[in-house]
Amino acid sequence: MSGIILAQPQELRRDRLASLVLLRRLATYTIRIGVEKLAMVAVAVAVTLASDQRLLGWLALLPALIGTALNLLALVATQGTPRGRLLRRYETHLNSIEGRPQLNLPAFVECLGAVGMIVAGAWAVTDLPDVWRLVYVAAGTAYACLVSCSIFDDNAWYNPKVRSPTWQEVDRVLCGVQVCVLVLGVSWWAPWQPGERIGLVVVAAIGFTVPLRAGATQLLVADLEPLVEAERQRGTRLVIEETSRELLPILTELRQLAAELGPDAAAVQRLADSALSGIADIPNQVAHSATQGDGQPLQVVAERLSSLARAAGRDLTVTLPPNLSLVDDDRRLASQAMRDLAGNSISASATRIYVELRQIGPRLVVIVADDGHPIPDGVWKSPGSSSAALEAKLAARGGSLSVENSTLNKLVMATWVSAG
Amino acid sequence: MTQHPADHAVRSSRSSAFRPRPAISGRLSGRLAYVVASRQAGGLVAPALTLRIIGLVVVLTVLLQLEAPFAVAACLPAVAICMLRARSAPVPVAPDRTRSKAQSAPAAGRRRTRWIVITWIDLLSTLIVVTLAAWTTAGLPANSRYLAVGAAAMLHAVAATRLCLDPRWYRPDPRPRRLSRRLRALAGPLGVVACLALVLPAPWEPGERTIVTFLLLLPLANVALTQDQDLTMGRVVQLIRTEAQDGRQAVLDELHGTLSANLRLLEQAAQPLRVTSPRLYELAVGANSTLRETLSLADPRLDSAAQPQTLNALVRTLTMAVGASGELTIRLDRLADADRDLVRLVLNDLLATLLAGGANRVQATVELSQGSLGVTVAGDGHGRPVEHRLPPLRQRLASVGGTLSHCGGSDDVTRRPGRDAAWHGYVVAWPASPGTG
Repeated sequence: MSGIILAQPQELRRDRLASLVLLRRLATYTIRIGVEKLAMVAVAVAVTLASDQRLLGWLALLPALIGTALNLLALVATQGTPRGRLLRRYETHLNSIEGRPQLNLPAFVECLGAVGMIVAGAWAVTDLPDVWRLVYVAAGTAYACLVSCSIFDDNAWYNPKVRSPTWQEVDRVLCGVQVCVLVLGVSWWAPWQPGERIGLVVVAAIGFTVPLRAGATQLLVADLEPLVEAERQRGTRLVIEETSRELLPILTELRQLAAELGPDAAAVQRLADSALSGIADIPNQVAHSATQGDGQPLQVVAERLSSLARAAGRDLTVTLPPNLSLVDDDRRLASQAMRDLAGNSISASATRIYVELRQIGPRLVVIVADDGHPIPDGVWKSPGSSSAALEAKLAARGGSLSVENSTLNKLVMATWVSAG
Repeated sequence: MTQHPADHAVRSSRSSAFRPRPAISGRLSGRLAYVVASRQAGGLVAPALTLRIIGLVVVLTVLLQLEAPFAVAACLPAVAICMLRARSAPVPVAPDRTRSKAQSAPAAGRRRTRWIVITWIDLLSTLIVVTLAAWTTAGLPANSRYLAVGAAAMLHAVAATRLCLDPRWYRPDPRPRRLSRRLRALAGPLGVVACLALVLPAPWEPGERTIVTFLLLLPLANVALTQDQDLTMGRVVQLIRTEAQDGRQAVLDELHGTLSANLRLLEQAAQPLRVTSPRLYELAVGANSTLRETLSLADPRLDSAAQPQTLNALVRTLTMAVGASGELTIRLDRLADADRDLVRLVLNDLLATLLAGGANRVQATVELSQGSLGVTVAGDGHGRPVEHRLPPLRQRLASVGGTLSHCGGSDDVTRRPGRDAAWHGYVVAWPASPGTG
């Protein structure tokens, strides 16, 4: 039934997010399946030891044992730096197949191992009672299912960078039928007591757990992008609503109190008004960001800074180059630099502040000069501060953040290479 | 070296330093887990229904050979429920936890109870079918009996698996109940045991019980499917949160870019008016602190900035602004609005006092003890704290029956920095408001 789910066209299935999810669960999933496979091999070994026809039994079991050893080796090779040329080559081989619709060496050997185990249960240990043999065949079938799960429930089927040939897609849809056919085809003709063959049919039906598991996984990882978008919008709305809910009553009461206090609290009233209009404007800014890319237009930033400076009784001038067209990344960074640096100047008791954005060749420069106190040592760019965050962003764009203190004024410069 | 109550905060912070108290814990919990699991459960409706119909048809076909109307009639509840639940799938929207119980309980509660009752009847009815398939078919050939028992076991496995994968039952939002988690983990083995207990005592020929035992292992498929769901869902939820993170971050950047300087200035402008209008100053501090606390919302697991733990943002921003480091340990779950305002004021004043005195490292603790809310703030001392903020704070505290006292440290103003630095600190306490706890 889950074949219906697995039959989804690969164009719809292959998706970056789905592939990432399965890549992230790969290590845990592989270890879990590996342990389960080990348990099945242990059952097979126990039955083989109980049989008199050990040579045949061991021969048939050999690929499964080698597959187990290769898997353990893969664990060693992929965890940390592999030692030895052979181990490094093995790691290279595993990495080269990773995320691609191809069988790697351990998977190939394990496929042989699954056939070997079913053959051994049906044909090799015939001296044992049928129940034991049935248990052996069941262990072989479960082993085949686990190998199939690690093949068909893998991130390679979701990797958007590759395409599988049609036969592989059909193979995946029919993965359950394949296991059934394998079990019945190999073991049906072996010598069984009358009535035991119905047991084989039951055992073969275990194969249908493979499409069930792969289909259930596909349902979990399908079409995640709308969920991400909904979550993104929810986060945005939440921050706006939370902030408005918390801040608006405080600022409204504050403005009222300031108005009652009269001229002594005029600056407080102006600043409260400015903050209230800023909060009211946040949804517009976010809506603008959503439609026009990140960040406010620089003219809006300049207007807000001027209005804030007026409210605080400072004299602030912003100069933007005429007809300057910036890409989103540059606009966002310029906006952050202007707001951070000018905001610091305003609150650091400067009375006259000058802000300018310039383009000098391929570089953009934000200059903020003021007549405030020099920046004390150890405060600016301290870890976690906004200036440290700004400097990190500038450095990532080949830029820097510097200050020149003098007795009369202070000049802060943020510069970076334009992305435009 | 002077011992100080803040040392206790330093020690305890190693284990309980601020971690935003997650609304979500574990990979199976939370709103997103509910939504993701609902989508999967919805997708499994059609395959599950098909399997159930096949199972029922097989069982009924075998039972009809018996000409025993009683046996067929006993299967009818299973048929009815199969049809009743044919299209039952959870809506992929998490229940609204912001609604109070009074608002949401009557309708949602009734729906949920009805759904749970039907689910348990569903499981019970499949076990009845398993029993009928084993006990009433004694006169039929072995192959027919195997078919009937196998189909019945499949019915039970499908019903149990659908239940285990359905978030309406184990309710990952906010977090699954312990009983549901345990039942979910044991559903496969429990199903096998129940089926074996019902089927094996029935009359079987020698050797047939082995085959039947194999058949009855079918419910174990449940284990693989639920484990897969847990494993994959954890990664899906994590990835969605990471991918959606930039939405919150973008709006927080806008918000702080627009308001941080403004509210900082507001607090500065309100400072000289503190004596004439303490309330005005308190509001200005509250506004600035609130904005800082909203920074906590950058953590995608948080749905509200009004949690006690978010006060840590206030401590961090205040200390970082002067290049110092600070940490807040909170030992309570809820803060009433009035207490929260006062805690902000206390932290703001005491931290400013210590930092202005040259403290490089500050530790603060907020805790509730015997109905009294206590705030301890201490910092390493490189100079005497600048205490001009304390008289108005004492006045404010006195108005609510609180006290402010020094603790630790000494009057020696020439202390060595680093590990040997002595600690200056203050202990503040006042009667907690109702709602704090």
